[in-house]
Formats: sequence, structure tokens, C-alpha cells
Amino acid sequence: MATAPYNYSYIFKYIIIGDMGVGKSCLLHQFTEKKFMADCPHTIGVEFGTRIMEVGGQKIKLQIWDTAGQERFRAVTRSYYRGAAGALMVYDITRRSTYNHLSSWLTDARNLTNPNTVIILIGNKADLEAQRDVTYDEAKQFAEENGLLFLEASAKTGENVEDAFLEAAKKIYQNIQDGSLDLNAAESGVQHKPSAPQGGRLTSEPTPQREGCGC
Amino acid sequence: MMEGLASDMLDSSVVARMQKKFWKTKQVLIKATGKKEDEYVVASDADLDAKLEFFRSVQSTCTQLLKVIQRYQHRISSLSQEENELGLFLRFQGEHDHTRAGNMMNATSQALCTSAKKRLALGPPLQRLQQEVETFRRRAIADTLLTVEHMERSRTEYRGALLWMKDASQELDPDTYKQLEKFRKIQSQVRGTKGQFDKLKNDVCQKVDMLGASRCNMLSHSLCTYQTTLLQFWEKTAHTMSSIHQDFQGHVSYQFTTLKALRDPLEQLTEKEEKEERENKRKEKKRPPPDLDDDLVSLDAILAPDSMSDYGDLLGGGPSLPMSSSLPGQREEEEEDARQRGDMDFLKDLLSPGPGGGADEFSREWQDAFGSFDSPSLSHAPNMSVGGATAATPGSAGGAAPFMSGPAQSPQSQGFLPSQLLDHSLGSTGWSTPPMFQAPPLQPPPLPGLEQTPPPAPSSAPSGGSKDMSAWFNLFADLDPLSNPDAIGRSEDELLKA
Repeated sequence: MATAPYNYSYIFKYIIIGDMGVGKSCLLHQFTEKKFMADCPHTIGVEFGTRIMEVGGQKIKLQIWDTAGQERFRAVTRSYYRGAAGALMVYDITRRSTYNHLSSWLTDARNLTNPNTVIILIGNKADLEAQRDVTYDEAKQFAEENGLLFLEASAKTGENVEDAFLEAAKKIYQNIQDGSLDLNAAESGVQHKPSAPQGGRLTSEPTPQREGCGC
Repeated sequence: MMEGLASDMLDSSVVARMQKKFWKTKQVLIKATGKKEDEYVVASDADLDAKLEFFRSVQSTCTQLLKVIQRYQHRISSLSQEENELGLFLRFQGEHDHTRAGNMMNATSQALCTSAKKRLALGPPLQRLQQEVETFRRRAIADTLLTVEHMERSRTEYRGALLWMKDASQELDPDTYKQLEKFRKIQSQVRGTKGQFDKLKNDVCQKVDMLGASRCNMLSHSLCTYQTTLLQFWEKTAHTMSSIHQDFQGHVSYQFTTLKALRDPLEQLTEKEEKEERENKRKEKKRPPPDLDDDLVSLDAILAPDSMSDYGDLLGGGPSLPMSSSLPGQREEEEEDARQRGDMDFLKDLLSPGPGGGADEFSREWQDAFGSFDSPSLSHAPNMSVGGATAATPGSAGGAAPFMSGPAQSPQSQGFLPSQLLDHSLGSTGWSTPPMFQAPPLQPPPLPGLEQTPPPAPSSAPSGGSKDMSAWFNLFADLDPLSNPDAIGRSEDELLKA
């Protein structure tokens, strides 16, 4: 699989945002490693993860920035919004407060990313139905009011985790096709790499694939 | 290659250290200059900062408390000292006083001395409290302070690292290896300092909580004894003092009230007198002479209203005592007399010779005081209508004469001097002079105004007993400038008529 790492046409930058402890890192880990990490320490600043998906017949590399949710990192993480093609806004369905803070996260996301950025709302820990604190419907309504995609997922079981990333990727790709996303724009969040699988010309310096959580 | 690697590593470590230092220093600078820090970073430390504030307050209040206790102790001791001295003074005075006043003084002095002693009993509990607070400050607070300072240092480092990360985050591309490496480095720095800071933060919070609890404990412990002692002291002292107050409840108050009584009624009566006789102005004018008739002093005959008024004017006072004492109404006079008798009793007590040398000392002082008082007035008042020596009369002798001859007219503008009061009472009530002041009857001739034993001007009495007094009076007579009695009388007359 020597050419596999470089066999992608686009690079989409994703950021995962949300309150501390909602499960951002776990979602990333589940997505990239297909494993659930029970004891994940607090993210310091940001962690990175990548995975290649196929959308519309195109191989797309997802460059995922898992940002720290702790308040003290707010100023630091604000730097990371720039140039994001997609944003996963995560809350915990068993903790109402994480849902209530969504407006603030959304404001940040809207202010710091370009208007075309695809934002998807994720209600994590869907496996903990018994402790549910936020209904599907109200979250759905919130998402619709704000023009967001919405999914309830579980990093533990893996339910809807792939779909979450995939849906966002589809949307972004669609925007590219529409032309609403200008690839030449500086901070579109999308890098178009003309597919040059043969020859293995490196499009960028080697990065470890599937970095996963830096724990 | 290896060298290169090694040197790289060396460089990187040096560089890394420098970088760390740089950002830490930057943070130090921000903190020192009070520049506004990242609000989120600050906000995340809100609970810690609250605890720190509490700690600072514990610190400062402890120091203040120590100072206050110190001052308090000093004041207690000086107050106790003063109280004791007052008690001793009263006791000393009370011993020489055989009246109820003396008893009161004795009782009060005892109470005061006891209270002074008891007050000092507050010392030990306060001392104990001071020790406890001092120990608390030296140990508990100092220890917590160390942890706080340690935490602050770590916090500075941590915040410095955060600044670094923030800076690096501006331009970050994870696909760029070098950048990622650098980021990793920063990340580990942040992680390390954060871990340390979090731990110390917990330590500080715990320690401050414990500090607060132990302070509560310490204070409630030490203050208990102090409070008990204080309450006991107050109870006992208050009880003693109020029982004294009870015992002496009906007692007539001391001097000032008495003197006031002497003054006011007279003035009142005079005013009343004036009011009543406003219709009869002439009568009012004529009053003095008939009033004088009431007086035992035979100056009436010689005295003319004019001279009387002159005399009054001369003295500068209001209605002179004798004048006002000679009241239109018999009733009022009697009242006045009664009052004055009581007053005289008091004065008698006051002036009565005490045991031992006290009296001598007293009378000596008295003479000293009033001797000096008399002479100037006499020397400066040659026109005094009161019978007596002329201006040429040497001080004391001259002084005595007018007093002796005209007790009715003797009042000075200040009517409170005992000498005058004595004179006055002698004139009006026929009160007998106390033995001390009793002088053998002076030769009336020299002082035509006198009909009775001339009251010795006590101020000018020579020290010692009546014998001395008589000698003095004899001397007085001798010293009369107009040795010829007749001449004296005449001069008096002239004086009076001046």
C-alpha cells in the first residue's frame, strides 16, 4: 500500500468542537482507529487525525483537528477554525449544559470559518439512552433553524460515527461541484490535490497516517 | 552523522530551553505590567483566585490582629495603673475626711483598686491568644504561603507555554512535518506545566480550606477564656460600683452644686426683688439701708446708700452677698439662712482641722492662697468703703480690716471663697466661728463697724491655733496705719463715704 497514503484528490480540513468531555477525542479515535478509548485525558490544545474516505468516486483525505474543549484553551483553539472545510459540533445528550453552550460554539464557528463551511451537529453518547437529557427532536429543530446537519452518534458503539464524517464530506463535495466552494480561495479548507498516484509524487511532506489521539 | 545528531539534539535542547524561557518571561512581563490576560485562561482559574483572595485576607487579618492585641494589652495595663493610682489617691484623701464624703471615697478607692487588679487578669488570656495567633501565622500561614508561591510560579510557566502554543497555532499545518514537530514540542511543554499547575492548584485549594478551618478552631479556643475572664471582670466591677452607688444614694452632692446653690438663689432673689419693686423704684433704692438694718453689722449707721453702691460697683460684682442676703422678706431670709447654715456646715467640715499635720498644711495653704488674694485687692482698692485700713495699710493688716469690719460688705465679685462665706454667715446668722478661726474679740474701736467678734480673715490668719490668730489680730491692730483708733474709725468713715 505504498501509494495508498497519497491516493487522494482532496484534503478536507475538519475541526471537532464542543464542551470538554462530550467525546470529541473518542469520536476521532473511533473514526480513525475503530476503537473506543475509555480513559482519554484532556486534549492539550489540539490533536490530529486523518483518514481517507471515498466520496463521489473521489478519494478524500480528511485532516481532522480535534480541539481542546477546556475553557483555558479557547483562545488557542480559535486559531484552528481558520481554513476548516467542515466542523463537527459535538454535545453530550446526557448533559444538558453541553447542549446549552452550543450557541456559543456556533457563534465561534460562524465567525471564524468561511460561510461555506459545513457544520454538522453531533449528539454523542447516544448509547446512554437512560440518562438522556436532550431530546432528538429539539436538537433536530435547533439544527434546522441554524442550517446544520444533525446526527446522534455513539463513539462507544460506533453508531453513526462514520456517517457523521461522511455526511459532512458529501456536503462539502457537493458544494465543490456546485461551485459554491471556491477551491482557489485561501481558506476554503479544501486542498485539491490532482490525483497523481503513479510516480508517488509526494504532495506534501510525509505525515503519519491515522495519527489518532496523541494520548 | 552521530555528531550531527548529537549537536542537533544539543541545539534543540538549548533552543528548546531558550524558547521555553522566552515564553515564560513573556508571561512574567504580562503579569508584571498588568496587561490584560487571555480572559478564558483567567476565567478558568476563577475558583483558584477566589481561594487565593481568601488566603490573603486571612494573612492580613492575622497580622492586624496581632498588632491590635499588642496595643490592647498596653492600654489595659496603663488603664489599670491609672485606676489604681486614682484609688490610692481617693483612699489617701478619704482617710483625712471624716464625713460621708470620706466614706464614699474610701469605698470607691477600694473598688477602684480592686478593679485595677482584676483588669490585669485579662492579661494572661490575651497573651495566650497572641501566642496562638503568632504560632498560627508562623506555621500555618507560612506553610500555605510557600505552596501558594510555588503554585504561582508554576502558573506563570504554564501560562507562558499557553502563549507559545497560541502563537504556534496561528500558522499550523499538521501535514508539515517540521511544524508538527514543533507543535508537539510545545504541546508537551504545555502538558507538563499544566499537570504541575493542576496539582499545585489542588494543593493550594486544600491548604487554604484547612487554613480557614484551623483558624476558626484556634480563635474559638483562645477567645473563650478571654471572654469568660472579661465577663467576670465586668460583672464583679459593675456590681461593686453600683452597690457603692446604692449606699450613697441619698447623699448630697459635692461642692459645685452647693456653691451653685449659694449663688443662684441669691441672684434669683435679687431679680425677684427687682421685679417686685419695679413699681417702687424709690423703694428699691431705699432698700439697702433698711436691709442693712437687718444686718448685725453696725455699718448701717455709717454707710450711705451711695457708698454702698459705690462699694458694690467697686467690687464689680452683682448684688453683694450681704445686700442680697438682707432680703425683703423674712421668709426668704430664713430660707437663705437655713441654706447657708447647711453650707456653712459643709464648709466647717471642709475647713475643720484634720488629724495630724493635714490641717496645718491645709490652713497654711489656705493662708497662702488667700493672703495673696487679699492684699492686692486691698492695696488696689483704697476706696473701699468697707471699714478698715486705708490704702497705706500694709497688706495683710489692711486686708483683715475691711473684712473684719464689714462682713456685710465683704463679698468680692466671686462670692464663693470660704472666707467670704464665713464672713457673710457671721453677719447674717450669728453663727459661731469654729474654734480654729475664733479669735479673741478685737478692739472694736479701731473698727467701728464691728459689733461682734470680727471674723478672722482665715486666709490671713497666721498658722496654728487661735492663739496665733489672736496674736495676729493684735498685730493687726498694731499694724493699723492709723494707730489712733479714732483716726482709724474716721478713715473708715471717710472710706465709706468715698
